[in-house]
Amino acid sequence: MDFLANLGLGFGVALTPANLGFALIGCLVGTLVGVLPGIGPVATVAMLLPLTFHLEPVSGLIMLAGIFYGAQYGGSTTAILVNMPGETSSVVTCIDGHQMARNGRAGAALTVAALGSFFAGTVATLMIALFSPPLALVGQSFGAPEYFSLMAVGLIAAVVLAHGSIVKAVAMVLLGLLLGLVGTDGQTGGQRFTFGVTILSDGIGFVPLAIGIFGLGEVIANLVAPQQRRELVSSRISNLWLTKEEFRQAWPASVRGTLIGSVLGVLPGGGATLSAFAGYVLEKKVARDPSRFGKGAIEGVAGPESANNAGAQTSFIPMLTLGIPGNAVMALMIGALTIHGIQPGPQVMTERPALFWGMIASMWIGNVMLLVINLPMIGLWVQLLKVPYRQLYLAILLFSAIGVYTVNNNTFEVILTALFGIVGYIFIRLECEPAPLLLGFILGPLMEENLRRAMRISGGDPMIFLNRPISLGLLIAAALLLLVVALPAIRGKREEVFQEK
Amino acid sequence: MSLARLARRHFVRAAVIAATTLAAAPAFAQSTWPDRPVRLVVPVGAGGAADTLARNLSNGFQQFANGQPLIVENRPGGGGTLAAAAVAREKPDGYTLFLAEVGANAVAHVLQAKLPYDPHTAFTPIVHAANLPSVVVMKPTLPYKNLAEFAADARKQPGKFNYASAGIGNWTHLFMAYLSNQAGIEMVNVVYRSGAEMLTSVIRGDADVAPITVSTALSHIKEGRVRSLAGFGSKPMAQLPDTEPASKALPGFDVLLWHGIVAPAGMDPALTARINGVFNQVLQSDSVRNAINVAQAAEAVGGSAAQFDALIKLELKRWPDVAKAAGMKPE
Repeated sequence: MDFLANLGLGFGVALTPANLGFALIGCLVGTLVGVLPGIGPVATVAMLLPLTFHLEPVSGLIMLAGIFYGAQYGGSTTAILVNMPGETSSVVTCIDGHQMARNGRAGAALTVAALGSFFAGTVATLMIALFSPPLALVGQSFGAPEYFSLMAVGLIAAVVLAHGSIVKAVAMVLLGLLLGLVGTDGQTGGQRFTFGVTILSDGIGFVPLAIGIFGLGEVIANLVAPQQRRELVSSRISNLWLTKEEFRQAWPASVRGTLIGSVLGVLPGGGATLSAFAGYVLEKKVARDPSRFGKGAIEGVAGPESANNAGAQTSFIPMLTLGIPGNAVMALMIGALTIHGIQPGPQVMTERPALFWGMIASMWIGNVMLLVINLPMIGLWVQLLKVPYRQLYLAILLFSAIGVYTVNNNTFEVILTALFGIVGYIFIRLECEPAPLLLGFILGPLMEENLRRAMRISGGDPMIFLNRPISLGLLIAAALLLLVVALPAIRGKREEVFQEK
Repeated sequence: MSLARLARRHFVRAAVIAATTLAAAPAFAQSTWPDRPVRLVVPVGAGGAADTLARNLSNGFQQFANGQPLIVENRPGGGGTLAAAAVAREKPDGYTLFLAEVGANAVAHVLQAKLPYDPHTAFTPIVHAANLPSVVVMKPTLPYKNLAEFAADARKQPGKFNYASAGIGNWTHLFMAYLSNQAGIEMVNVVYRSGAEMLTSVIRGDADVAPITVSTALSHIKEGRVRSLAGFGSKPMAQLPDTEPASKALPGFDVLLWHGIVAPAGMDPALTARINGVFNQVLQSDSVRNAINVAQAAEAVGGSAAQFDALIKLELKRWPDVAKAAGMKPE
């Protein structure tokens, strides 16, 4: 059995005391980075990169990888406790995770996030070990037309994210699209809505937008609210573990999230974030009672949390098998390999099996470590909710500001975050959901970019979207989804009206 | 002693001290620079060839620089001009350096209407650090064996072929615009977000050709997923001995993807010489040379500040014309 021999080799490398230590350091740093809003794995990995020059290549990679997937675990913590997406991929966790915390189920939400992430991490690691080459091909077969069609599916699905008024959801998606327009037009270099501000020529950053609208908006709302509402969360903490009913609801969601995340993670660019959104939409669609979503449905935490961790793991596949980075962290790891004199690419698997399999084995070990780190910490995290909010919010603001600054070392983005905080508060007052806005913001520019790329490739022939089988399939899926979304939304609105009476 | 005289004496003394300090400053600076960490601002995000180059330099810096570290600070944005503008505003004290490249230092002023600095005067050139060899790669399903064959067919069918680039005014765009111009061909520019995306689009067959650094493309060329059509530089490349330089089809064609160190304008020449000396030592050290030449598949250069100044001046002549000929307008 080649596979078992390879895994044996991998565990032999990963289980040396030194490499176990580096995996642990990576996981700890990753958890911390994940918990702190704004400070992301990209900035951290970039900062720690010089350290790895003096390590064995495999040790360095194990540590950097630990930071990356550790951040996915940590990101959910802030999302659940203070409604602040610690990482871009934990935006959707805010929706139901924070509601669970408000209902006194913060412990359960954190537990299910950790367990779901662990399960997803284990499955995704196995998938990397078994199916790397074919999965890499899936990622590669996605060209501009396929992306465009995928984004079409995504935009329609964005509406599903919202609970409540569908008109408001559509409006928020459109607003997100508009915000996404700011910046340089990629194909011509023209400036859009930049008002002569150079940093805006690269568009509005995702981090200032997400931290501002979600996190700071929530902070303002909490401070405006009377004392009792604010302290509500801390007074109602109940059992940290899952109830039998919760477990029964959560595990299938976790399995579905893992599958969808494993596939979407392979796609270049934001695999983990896209996976989390997809995981949430899927859960809401398959749920028997979708109205529970947005009010603390445990599937709304289990699904996306499993999906983003699976996506984070499988995003290693293009890097490991082809030497092509799917995101900035992977690009940094390729940089680290290059500095060690290893030419990243398919030959790494055959020429340096110890590195390749050692890294894969370490991912699973890292996931075990993260579970061990995170489960006992849950009690501690929940205690954080008992800190009086007037003290807690200062820490939230401080860490947000530092986090936003580290993304591009730019003060303008900190100011932008503050402005978006005010906008976020207005949204809360208007009862507009920010999640569809963020999805529109992410998908809009990608969709436009790929539409124009595809049209340039085809020489202006729109049939390119129908001639390519994957693209055609996705467009058909989009059309079906539109029907599915439109019908219950019309009916759902009636139900809501009845509920109010 | 009257109060006024006292004040005047103080003033005179202060002035004398100030004058001697000022006079001594350059000598002081050149022997002791650096006495604190030095910042190297890099106009691209972490990861990628230019960033790796900066980190390789930083790796070897400390042992030649009084034990002080060279800290790489990534400030991506605005096609590199955000970082360049920030550095141009700093003092030329040797503690803020900039990783110069064609975009921010040789062409940005004709692409951006309100550039807050003038590349001709905003910087003191210090040293030409390295060239990153780059090639035109082509999707392997096309039949052409070299640039001459490709250009001959492309000339007959204007607008049939497309090339991938990483943005308007980016080196990938400029190099291809120049190549098309020199070869008399017309191609469609399809913009992607990174070298990695460009490469995948060629492998997948969406893009016909693309300019890519050798370090990024090497393993894919060797495995036959893309074909290297021509090198942009006129020198043969050690890693790709079979790839002809573009000058074989287009006599005189020679463009370099150069990177070097510059400082804010107005630096004292003695300090410039001292920093140049340190970086030359760094570039000649075995570990850094190896890291750049072998691992990065690049070419460590070095040399005097005057040589680098001359190179930038030549580039400042070439690229604005290329940009205008390709119809790029200030935005």
